[in-house]
Amino acid sequence: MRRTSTMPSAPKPPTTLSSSTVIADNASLSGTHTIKIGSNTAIHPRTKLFSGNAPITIGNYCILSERSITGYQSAIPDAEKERGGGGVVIGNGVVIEVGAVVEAKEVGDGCVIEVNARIGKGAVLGEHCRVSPLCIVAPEEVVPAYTVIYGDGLRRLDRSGVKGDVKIDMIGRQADVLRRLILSNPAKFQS
Amino acid sequence: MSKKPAKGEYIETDTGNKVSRKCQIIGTTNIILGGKTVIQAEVIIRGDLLRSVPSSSSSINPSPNDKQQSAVAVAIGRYCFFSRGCALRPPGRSTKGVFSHYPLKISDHVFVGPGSVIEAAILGSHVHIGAGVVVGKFAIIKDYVKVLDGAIIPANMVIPSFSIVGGRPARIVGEIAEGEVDGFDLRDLWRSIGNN
Repeated sequence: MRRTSTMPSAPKPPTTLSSSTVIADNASLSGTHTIKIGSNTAIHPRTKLFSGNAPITIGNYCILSERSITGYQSAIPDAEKERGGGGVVIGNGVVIEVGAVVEAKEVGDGCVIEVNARIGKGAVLGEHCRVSPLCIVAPEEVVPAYTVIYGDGLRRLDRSGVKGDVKIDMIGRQADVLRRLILSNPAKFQS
Repeated sequence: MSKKPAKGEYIETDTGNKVSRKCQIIGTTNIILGGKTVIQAEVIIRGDLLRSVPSSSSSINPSPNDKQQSAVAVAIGRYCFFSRGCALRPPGRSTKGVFSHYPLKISDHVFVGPGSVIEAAILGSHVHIGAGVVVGKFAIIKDYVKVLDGAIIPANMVIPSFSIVGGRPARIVGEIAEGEVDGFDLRDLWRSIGNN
């Protein structure tokens, strides 16, 4: 078994969960830094959040799908620590699909990170970006708002589509549906 | 000492399904296996993502077995083969402001390669999906289709019968000739999988 995030006797990380967070019983939260999850955010079963190297902050109305891994997988450099590196910060209305790996410093509001995409360590995604399946954002890269990364690393800007409150509302409805479907057990993760 | 009893990797059911003990099936009551299907280790099947709105046909003409119909999230036919690490997940979308998942239907003799993620609406029979493929939400794949390794099938794409698709995003890159359909039969593959 190659599991880096679930050590046999790993202590539970300090968590701040909202009362309206939907978090599946067999999601995995591990590490030593704080994990903060906002309201109306849904976390599917088998999602991994690893705060062993830096804290994780997830906004409101986000959806994290199974097998996705969020959090720095390796230690952050000292220079970053001195600058008070806040770890992974995910905005509001962000959807992370199956198997995506997110090590970004910042993911802007309304971003969609699709199946098996990888966001490199310390990268910054602007608002309403979309990273298509299997696409890769390099470490430390800064992606401007409204960028669509598709195909074999091609990029374009797309300002169409729903955004703002309408988009948040749509994701909120999805979270409401998931609240009924997913066996939620926030108590297990509360510290 | 009794920690490791003499158990094989697969659980074999009466209908001939061979399900790995290491797979992650969520919401088992909402999954139908047609029989003689192989599910390998680390496969995720999301049976818990049920439809949350009644289908339009049944709301006009409600039938007594309505509840049973709506309680299926993933339907799988006979002689299907799900390789290690693939994920099956019913697609979801918002229509008229209401979000719902919709059933994922898989017919007979469907092969899914390792690490592939399937969020399709319908997979026809004799479909061969390679390794590391992503099938987008509400895609419809008809019978006798070969999807090459690493292909990304966009959401809502409809792939006609006897086509070969590949690329990112996937396009039709070829056709399956009449004589080539023999390789799609998965009966021998099913026989070769077992506890020994």
